Amino acid sequence: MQILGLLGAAAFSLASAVVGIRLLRLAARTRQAPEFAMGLAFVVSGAIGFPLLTAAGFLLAAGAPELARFATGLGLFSLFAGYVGLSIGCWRIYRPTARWPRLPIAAGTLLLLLAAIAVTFVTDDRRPGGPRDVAIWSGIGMGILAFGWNAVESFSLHRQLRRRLAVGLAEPEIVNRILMWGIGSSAACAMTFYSVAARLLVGQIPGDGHRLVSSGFGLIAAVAIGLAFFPPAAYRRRFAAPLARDGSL
Amino acid sequence: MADPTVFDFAAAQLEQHTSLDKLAARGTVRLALKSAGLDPSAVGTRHMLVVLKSVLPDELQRRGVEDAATVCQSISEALVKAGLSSEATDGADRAAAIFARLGTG
Repeated sequence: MQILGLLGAAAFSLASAVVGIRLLRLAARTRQAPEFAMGLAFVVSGAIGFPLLTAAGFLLAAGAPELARFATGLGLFSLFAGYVGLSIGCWRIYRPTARWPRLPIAAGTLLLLLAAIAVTFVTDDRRPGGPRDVAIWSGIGMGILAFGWNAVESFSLHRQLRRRLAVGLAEPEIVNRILMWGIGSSAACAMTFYSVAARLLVGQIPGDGHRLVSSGFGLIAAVAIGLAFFPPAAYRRRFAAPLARDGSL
Repeated sequence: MADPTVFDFAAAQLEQHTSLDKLAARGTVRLALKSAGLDPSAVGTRHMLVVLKSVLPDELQRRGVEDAATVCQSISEALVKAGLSSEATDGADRAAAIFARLGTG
């Protein structure tokens, strides 16, 4: 049961690592902000921060509190840096000409930095609802907002492009990939939100049932993120134009 | 005075070619653009030509305009001759282009 519970987290981390590295390689060629911000977000948040925080729980249970503390600190800095990247990526993809996102992103970055510093260097007060908990869950709350913002923008853009698709003014594959990113970011948002809700409702250590729910969200996020950014050729063929399929106009 | 936008031009042409008044003509073009997911303030000639061919004729027929297809054809020809901005892309176009690029890594 525990392995099933970890399956979603592992799939999410793997998908984040693969997609993140490919986006960073693309950014090295194009020197564009969207791929750099999103690539960095996937690598540091999904592929480094998320597994380190999962490992910290096991290290603590295994009686290695110092290692657990180190993993938590490094994991939180990575996870929170990823949330900043997700927000910047969302801004540069969906609203590149808008100035208003600067302030909330700057405020969120400051809050995340303070939360990570507090947990790593200032307080080790592990009482439920104590300063350490408040710092961690404030940071996680920013993650929920970052994923949520990406989801809202993606679904909104998808709705608009679907109308264009009907008159031949959009590419079916791109429209579908934007929908997939909406689903992927929603699932990641739900997974993060569920972890907060489970902790608040059932206490520090969630049961197997809660882990399974969270794992399900992780699996959905992993598949959708993969299809959004690098869909396999077989999946892409579903969106080939009828012209190409039957060879006629 | 600023140059007319593609939307302004198409709406003015529709007013000339039909019995619709200015408000009705602009509203009809606006509705046609909206149903195609386009923003009147950012639409370019290329997108407007598609709307004139695929969406506007039905909108005009619903309003009792006779020979809607011919009216739209006349507006299309005038629009091409006017030489207004062809690729006035909006936020949705830009975001879709970025997504297309993100899949090439």
